[in-house]
Amino acid sequence: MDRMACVDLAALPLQVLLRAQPEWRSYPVVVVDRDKPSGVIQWVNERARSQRILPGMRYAAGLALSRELRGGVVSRAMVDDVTAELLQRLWRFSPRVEPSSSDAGVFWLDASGLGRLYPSLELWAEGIREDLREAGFASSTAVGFTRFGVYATAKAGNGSVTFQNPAQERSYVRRVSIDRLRIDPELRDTLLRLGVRTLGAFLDLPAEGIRKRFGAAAYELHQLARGEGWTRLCAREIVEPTERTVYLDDPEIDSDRLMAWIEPLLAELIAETTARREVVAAVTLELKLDNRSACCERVAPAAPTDDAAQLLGLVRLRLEAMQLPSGVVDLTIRTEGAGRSARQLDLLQEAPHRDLDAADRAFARIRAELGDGAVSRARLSEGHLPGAGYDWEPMSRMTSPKPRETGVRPLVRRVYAPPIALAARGRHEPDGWLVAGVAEGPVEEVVGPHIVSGGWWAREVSRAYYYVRTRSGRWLWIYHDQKRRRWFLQGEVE
Amino acid sequence: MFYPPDFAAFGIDLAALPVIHAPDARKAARAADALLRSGGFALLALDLGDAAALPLGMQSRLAGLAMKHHTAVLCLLRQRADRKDGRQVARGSLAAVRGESAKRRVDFDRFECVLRAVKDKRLGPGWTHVEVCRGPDGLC
Repeated sequence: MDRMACVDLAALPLQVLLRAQPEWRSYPVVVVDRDKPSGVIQWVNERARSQRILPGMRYAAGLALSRELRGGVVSRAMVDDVTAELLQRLWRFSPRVEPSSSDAGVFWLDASGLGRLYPSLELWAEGIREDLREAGFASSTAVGFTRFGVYATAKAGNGSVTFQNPAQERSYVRRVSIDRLRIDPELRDTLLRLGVRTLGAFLDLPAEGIRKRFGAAAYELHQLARGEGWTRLCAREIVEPTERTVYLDDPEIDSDRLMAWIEPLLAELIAETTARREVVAAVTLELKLDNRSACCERVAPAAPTDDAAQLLGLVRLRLEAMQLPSGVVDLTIRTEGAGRSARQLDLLQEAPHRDLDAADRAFARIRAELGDGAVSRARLSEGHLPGAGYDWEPMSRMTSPKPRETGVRPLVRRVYAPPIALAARGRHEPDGWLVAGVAEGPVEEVVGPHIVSGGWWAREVSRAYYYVRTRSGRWLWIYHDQKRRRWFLQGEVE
Repeated sequence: MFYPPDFAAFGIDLAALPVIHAPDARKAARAADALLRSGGFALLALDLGDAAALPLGMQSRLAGLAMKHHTAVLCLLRQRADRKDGRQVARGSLAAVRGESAKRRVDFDRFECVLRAVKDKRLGPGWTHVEVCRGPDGLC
């Protein structure tokens, strides 16, 4: 008889956030859609829930309930990356794994035929939980006979459950509380108001009546629970990592000699990646050092490529920028593949006047030398304070600019981040206010104040901004911090 | 660093304006070298601030690459009158054009900005470019 298992990582985005910020585990933590006071809370941990912070609230409302609240954004891409990592782990336990497309953190595994490899399926399921725990994730597993049965059991969150026969599974599933399932909150609340609290009670309702009263979604759930709507397991094809490891006879610290080892390995990996009809999107180097420490570096070209010279150039730049405290004894090189873009597959390309792809390759070289955050672009955001009116985001691809026509053009300010603290004003200023030192002369003209305040939800800020002109002709942009009672230089009109 | 909202008000497309954050002038010049070699840019601006002038070898290499790829390299420096006679110390002898800027308030919200060429290898020094701009928010 076919056996099936389900692994559920409850509230996966929250687990991703806590894995990235492990020091937050003792605090109330939420996942928000935007890291702004107006952001909406999407996931909460038990500590936050105990302080009545619930999904759907604004982040500012959560902060008003608990000053210790920690919050962060977990993007879809981050969840997808973690799902790919979890797939790699689960493939070690079963060759056939299907991640749920609608419920992030749910995986179905084919457990048939594993009896010869493991003493029992209980130990097999416990091994999965232990492996995920080591990776920093909490999970629950269920081993049974039907897709819905193991799904509902795993969602019930009782650790590891293994059924010996289908009747046992059916009996368990009937007792699962309906609010454990990921269903429409409105439908859940309606069912609870009607006294339908368990899946057994839900299954006892007539199917046609459910379609008529609660709609298609409820009918679909009812069909799935009866085991009628499931398709067969759509297992994801196993992707073996492309990597090579070399063990050096003697510790090596010279980057040129390390490159001599890396070059043939990278050529093999590129050939292997190309054989899969993919190109290399990133190269990861894992170095084990003679002093028993290790370091890991990742470089990515501007666009996925199979150009060995380009990849070797980036690896060389990164190696030269590294300060290795000890010689390398083990060297592992790994490549990440990606599909070729439609543009790369074009036979005829109309060359633009400026080669934007070449600009992207230059960015990749700079990132390899100066770090991943070296190339960025400004993005305007909403904020009262000058420093909150914009932020920097990494720029990976160059695009054609689209400048706007404006009327009279404004002067551009230079901004100092962080602002520069100025000397306190003296009580007596016989030579005038020497805000920028004697060389620039005293202040001759003052425009302001412009009062700006905000940040009351975190740390209140109240500032009075001024423009002052020194005798030398410089227009300085300064402010008086009314909380700290100090003057700061925010910038300058250039 | 420039204030991005002012650049946006100037009409510049911030999404297509890459900014390289380099820890010092030497690294900035190396980044400029990589960007120039790509041939993907028509203009590169190096904001060197109060930093010392670039080494002559680096200037020479940047000038050669700029000519090869038809790219203008603009170095922004803050100079002060260091000599006793008030004349400024010459920097960047390989520069094709060197200019000094000044601004003066001419109306409630208008500033007259003057760029005076003190060196121009092609047209000769002495020419000026005058443009009237409005002050930033709070100064107009």
